[in-house]
Order: sequence, then structure tokens, then C-alpha cells
Amino acid sequence: MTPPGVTLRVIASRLCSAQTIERVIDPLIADLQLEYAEANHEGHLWKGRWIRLVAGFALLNVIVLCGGRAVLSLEKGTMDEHRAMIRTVVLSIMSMCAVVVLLLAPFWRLLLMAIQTKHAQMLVYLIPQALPLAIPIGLTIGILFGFRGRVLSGRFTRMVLTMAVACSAISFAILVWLLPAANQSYREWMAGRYGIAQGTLRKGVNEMTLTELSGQIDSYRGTAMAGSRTVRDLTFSYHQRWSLACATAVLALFAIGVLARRPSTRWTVGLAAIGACFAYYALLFLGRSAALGGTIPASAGAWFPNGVFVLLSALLLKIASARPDDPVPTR
Amino acid sequence: MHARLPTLSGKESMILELLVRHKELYGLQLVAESRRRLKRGTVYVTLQRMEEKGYVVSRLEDAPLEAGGLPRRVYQPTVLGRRVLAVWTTAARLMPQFAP
Repeated sequence: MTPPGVTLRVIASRLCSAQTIERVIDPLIADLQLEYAEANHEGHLWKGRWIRLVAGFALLNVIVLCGGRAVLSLEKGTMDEHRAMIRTVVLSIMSMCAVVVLLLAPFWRLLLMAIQTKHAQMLVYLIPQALPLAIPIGLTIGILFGFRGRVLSGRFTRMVLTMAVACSAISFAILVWLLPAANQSYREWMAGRYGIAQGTLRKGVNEMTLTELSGQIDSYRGTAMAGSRTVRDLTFSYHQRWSLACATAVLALFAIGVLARRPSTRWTVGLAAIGACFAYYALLFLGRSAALGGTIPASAGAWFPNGVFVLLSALLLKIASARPDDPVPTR
Repeated sequence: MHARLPTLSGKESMILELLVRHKELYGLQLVAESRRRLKRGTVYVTLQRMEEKGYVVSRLEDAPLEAGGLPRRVYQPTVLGRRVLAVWTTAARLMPQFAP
């Protein structure tokens, strides 16, 4: 049987510094192993298990603390970098809110009517529609403008990427669970209002969860419908959920590519931010029409914008790594 | 130029008191002696900080043969640690409202 704490030590060694391992993790594991051995020696099997569990939690607590401190090791960065990081977070949130408002603007009559008729739940149904696009766009703008005129250090690049991955995870949760449920509730609410349908409406592509989409695609496999537009639509929608969730991380990588090594001016980041958002949106539609038209596979159409931006980011990073450091431009 | 005054938090003060009383202890003994006021998940983090401040020193002690496992880290108070504790205890007695 593996001595207690061995697995957690392996995890800790990836997250914590050598000093923390030596001074915090190892003594904690030594205590755990000693206590566990004593309990087993005395024949207290359940006490041993309990010790293993409690000490395991204590160790996990320390690992989380160390990991969090390593990711957010603000005390080691310069004051300028701290400000830039805070500005990035604030600008990202503000941009996300602005994009949500912008994307919901065409529905202002509907929203106004909902508020007047005290049906504010309409907002809850509609906001998830805008979030999968608002999150990547907002974060890209936030990173580009937050770190404008600065060179991203390795530590802050890791922090920005961690933030992007966390946002991608949130985006994924919205796309997979919240959005289909909100869509279906919205349709049922609207149908109920106009007396078109009673009870539960049959779900469309946008109202299905990933499991339901996958089930539908499988049900058509091997039938005459296999290559039809319906199946392409289902397959595209399935892959787009994943690709849109990854868009936040991909666009953050692009922003890092823009900021890499060379401090960017206001115009450069402004152009990059607007260009990236519009280009991504355009590629999204291009990929969609090509996939639904049968020109390219549905999965390729869904992943097309991400593919283009990953290549672009790699190119930017390659150029940046080959370029000597530039002085900070006057702003 | 003024050197920074040594600081002592409540937990650090408790650890120093226990170490002064028992001469040397390891983390789990500190948790037990503090009657669970110290937590096993944070005691070593505090001890690491105290070692950086120079209040305690540690050495590795082999685990008992029958138990095996990693060596334990045993802590002792330093002269600075004892002095800081004495000063803070006096200060706390004189100004109880500032007691750690």
C-alpha cells in the first residue's frame, strides 16, 4: 500500500516551490505518516483512516494555498505590473458588460416590454445568449488595454493565461448548461404569452445540451440522413459549443502575442482589439456558412476561427521572439 | 535609518510560548499542545514564516524505525525569538489592549 501523502506530494511538487516543499509539505507528510503508522501499530484501523483523511485535507489546503500564491504571486511583481493586472480585470469586466448591452440592443423593445409587464426574467433568458461572445471579446480588450505600453513578464503571462482558462471554463458551463436551458425557457415563455403552445416545446438545436446533441448525431449515423443539412447543423452546433468555450483562451493568446516583448502603443492595441473581435466574428460566420453549405466538414467549420487565431498568435510570438527588445514608446 | 521592529502575531506568540516551555517540538506536537488552537494545515506555514524572521530554527529528526516515512522537522526557539516574545509579553502586560 502507498504510504499516505505520496500522491499529494507529487501534486505539491508541481505547484509549490522547493522551499515550501521542504519546510511545509514534507514536515506535514512526516507527521501524517508517523500518526498513521502509530494508529496502525496500535490496531486502530479506522483511526488510521481518519488521520489519513484529515491530514490529507490539511495537505490539500496547504497545496491550494501554495498554488494560489504561486499563480497570484503579486508580491513579486513590480507595482506597475500590479496596476496593469488590476486594470486588465476592471477593463475586462467593463468590456464584457458593454458587449452584452451591445448584443442585446436589438432586443430593446422586447426588454422594455418585459420590464414594463414585470417579466424581468426575460433578462435572465437573454443575457446568457450574449455571454459566450462577450467573455472572449471583453477579456481580449481588457488584456490589450490593461497591459498597453508594457512588456508582459513570464509570471504575468502565466497569470493572464490562467485567467483566460478560468474564463473559458465559465464560458463552457454557460454554453453547455445555462444557454440551452435559458433558450428553452425563453421559447416556452414566449409561446405561453401568445398562446401558441401549452406545455413543453420540442427542443431545437440551440436548446439541446451536449449530450442531447451527441445523441441526435448518433441516431442519424448510418442512415440516409447522415450527410444532410440537419446532421451538419447538429454537428456544427456540437463542435461550436466547444470551440466558443476555447475562444477566450485563444483570443487571450493572440493578445499575449500582440503584447509579447514589444510595448504597444494605444493605436496598436486599439487596432488589434477591434481587428481581432471583428475578424473572429467574421470567421465564425464564414466557418458556419462553409460548414452548413457542405464545403468543409462541420467540425472544421466550427473550429476554423480558433485555428486561424492560434496560427496568428504563433506567428506573432515567433516574430516577437526573433526581435530584439524595443524601448518603451512615448504615449 | 531605523531598522524595522520585529512583529509577532497571535499564532507566532503562541508557538514561541510553547517552544520556550518545551524546548523543542514538531508541528503535530504544537497542534496537540495548543489544544487545537493551532491547525495542522497552517502550523507549518506559520513556522516557515517564523524561521524566515529568525524566531525559530529547525532540524530534521529521523522518524522512529518502526514507523518509517519521512524525517520529522523539529523546531526550537532562537535567542531572537525568546527576546521578541519577552518584549511582546511585557508590552502586552503593560498595554493589554495591544496584546497579540
